[in-house]
Amino acid sequence: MSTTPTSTASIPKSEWINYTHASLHEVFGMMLGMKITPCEDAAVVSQITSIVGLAGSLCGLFSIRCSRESGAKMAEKMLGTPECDSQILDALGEICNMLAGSFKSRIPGIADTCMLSIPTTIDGADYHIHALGSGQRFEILVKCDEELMQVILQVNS
Amino acid sequence: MMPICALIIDDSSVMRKIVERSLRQAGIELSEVMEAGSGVEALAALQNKKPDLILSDINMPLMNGLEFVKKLQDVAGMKDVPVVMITTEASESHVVEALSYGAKGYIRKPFTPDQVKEHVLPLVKKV
Repeated sequence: MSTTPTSTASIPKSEWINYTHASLHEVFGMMLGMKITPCEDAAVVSQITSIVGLAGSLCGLFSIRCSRESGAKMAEKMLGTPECDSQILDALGEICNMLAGSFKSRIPGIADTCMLSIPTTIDGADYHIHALGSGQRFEILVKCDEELMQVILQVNS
Repeated sequence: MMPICALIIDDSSVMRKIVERSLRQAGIELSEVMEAGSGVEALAALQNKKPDLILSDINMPLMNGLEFVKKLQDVAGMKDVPVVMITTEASESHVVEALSYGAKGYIRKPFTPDQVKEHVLPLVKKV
């Protein structure tokens, strides 16, 4: 079955956010058994950041960030008790990977033409991501059960 | 059903643990779990032991899951080992490619233990 590629430039802002929320519900519900609720006016303590790049017919990046404590709780939901810090980082990377995959699968026609990078996780808060090119950036704040998490979607094409 | 030996291939150690847990939750008794972080590591592991089942990610460094399953067909005595792909890459072309190289099933991440059971149990029963 082939679908006509969607011009991603024509996708309205609300739709990008809807795709992201749907992906969050799917991944956190199925893999972590956690409920996602939108959240506003809260500040995320950004201590761990995971990033997955999108390349091809849709370029950009998909990123999630949260506190170390929240990351540990998410890892615990996935694994039982994490054995070491690297497992927490690994778990967050895998969550970001699944979110990006789920997000990509919701956009008609790009499954074969948009590739995902292997996830990268940054341990620490003192960094700045500079994306080349102009594009749209969406920041979504959610609670996963009681844990705060920020999702950043940068779309360059 | 006899306990089986499973080879789980994923560059994420967390995902390897989750896949192992899902197999156990699906009622599959594991006598041994072999782990590999890439297709290259998996091919090396197969020099020492033949598993009853292989579950492989696609998007991995060094050698991805599609290349691995293709190369597996040329490894003596391994052609009959069922391979199930578990991956975020859900495009139809990936599924078709994996199946054409000899994979017996395809599970998209995220997944539930029920989905693992549905795709893996019939293959394990044939072992």
